[in-house]
Amino acid sequence: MSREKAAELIGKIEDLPTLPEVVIEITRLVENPDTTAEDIYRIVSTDVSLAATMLKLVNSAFYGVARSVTSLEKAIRILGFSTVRNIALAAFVFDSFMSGKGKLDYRGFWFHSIAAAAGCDVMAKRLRVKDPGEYYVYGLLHDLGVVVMMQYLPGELARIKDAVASGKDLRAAELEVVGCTHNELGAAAAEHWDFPPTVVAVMAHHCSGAGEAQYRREIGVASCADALVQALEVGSGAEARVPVVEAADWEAAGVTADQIGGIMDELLAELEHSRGFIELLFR
Amino acid sequence: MKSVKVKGLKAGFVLARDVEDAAGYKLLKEGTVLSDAHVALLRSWKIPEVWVEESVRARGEPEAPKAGHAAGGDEKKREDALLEEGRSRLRRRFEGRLTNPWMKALYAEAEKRLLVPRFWRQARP
Repeated sequence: MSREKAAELIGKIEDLPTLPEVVIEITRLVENPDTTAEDIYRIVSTDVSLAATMLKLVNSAFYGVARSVTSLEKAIRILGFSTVRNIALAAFVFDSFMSGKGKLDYRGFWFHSIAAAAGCDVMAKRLRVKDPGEYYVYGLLHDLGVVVMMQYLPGELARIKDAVASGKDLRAAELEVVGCTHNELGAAAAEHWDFPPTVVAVMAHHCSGAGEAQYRREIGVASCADALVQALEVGSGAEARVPVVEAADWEAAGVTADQIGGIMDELLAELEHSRGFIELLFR
Repeated sequence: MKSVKVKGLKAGFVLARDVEDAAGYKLLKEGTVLSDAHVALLRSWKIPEVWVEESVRARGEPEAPKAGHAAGGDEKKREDALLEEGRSRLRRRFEGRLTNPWMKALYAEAEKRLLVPRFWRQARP
């Protein structure tokens, strides 16, 4: 019911950005196992600003390449296809939602998202999944609904924050003020942009204890990462109460209670390496 | 300008140079008037010493204290106060949330890491 409300809200936004052709094409290429570095290179090189970001990233301390990389093709090889796709998706959402008022809030929002992405990456690697880069995107984009609210429903968001500050449950406050949760709003936006179904499921169900069985692990990992980051007070969201992550989600993420400390330390270590990344985005 | 060991640093000192970590990332900017929180952060970042202006800006600290002396006890108190504030905030944020063994572990482990490097922490109002 409130899912329909979310779709309706997204449908009403007239200036909702459209996913650039180059990002659609990169996503399509990365999903295809026959894709070569040349294919990716041909697409990325058509977008000067994206190409520049890739080069800057590869030459940043994040990757620690000894000699400076000036060839885009080499940069793509070093970064790997999933990372190239991640950067493209993140750059799209980031560019679309960084302009306008309250930049500082956005900074807190992105700190939270990037830390959750690091948490997803840590857990995905522990689970030995085929492509931890996938999970990185789930963390990065899990709160897309919040950024949509920041941009298009700032008044409502302020009222939600006030309600939460006075002790109200986040979900209840969102339903009361907007008529749907940030989970549903994010999922509706992701559907609007034809994001992969797994990404939509993660947005729709993180920290809700629900979700489709086939995406259980992805939702579990994103939920745990979200809770870890909120517990560590990284970025925004550190004012509200920590979300309850149900036993089923921790189990789906393959995390036992006594591993949580170790995962926190790995997450914090990975964050140190992500500084270069965030500095690029805030350039 | 003079170099002061972080051990002997107090609120009110003004940074004469940017503070960077070992990898060259800027942590605090030149000209920052150090607060108690900054000093606690510098310590948790394991920065050994910083460059500060000769004169100390007001804030009830009229003169530069002699590095490494006298202030020790006070700073310990300040750090303890910071930690206590963090602990009680965390307690509030976990109220009613300790519903399974994972959530209990999450709380306990987060409490152990209250003073981790805070580049990533949003400036609190």
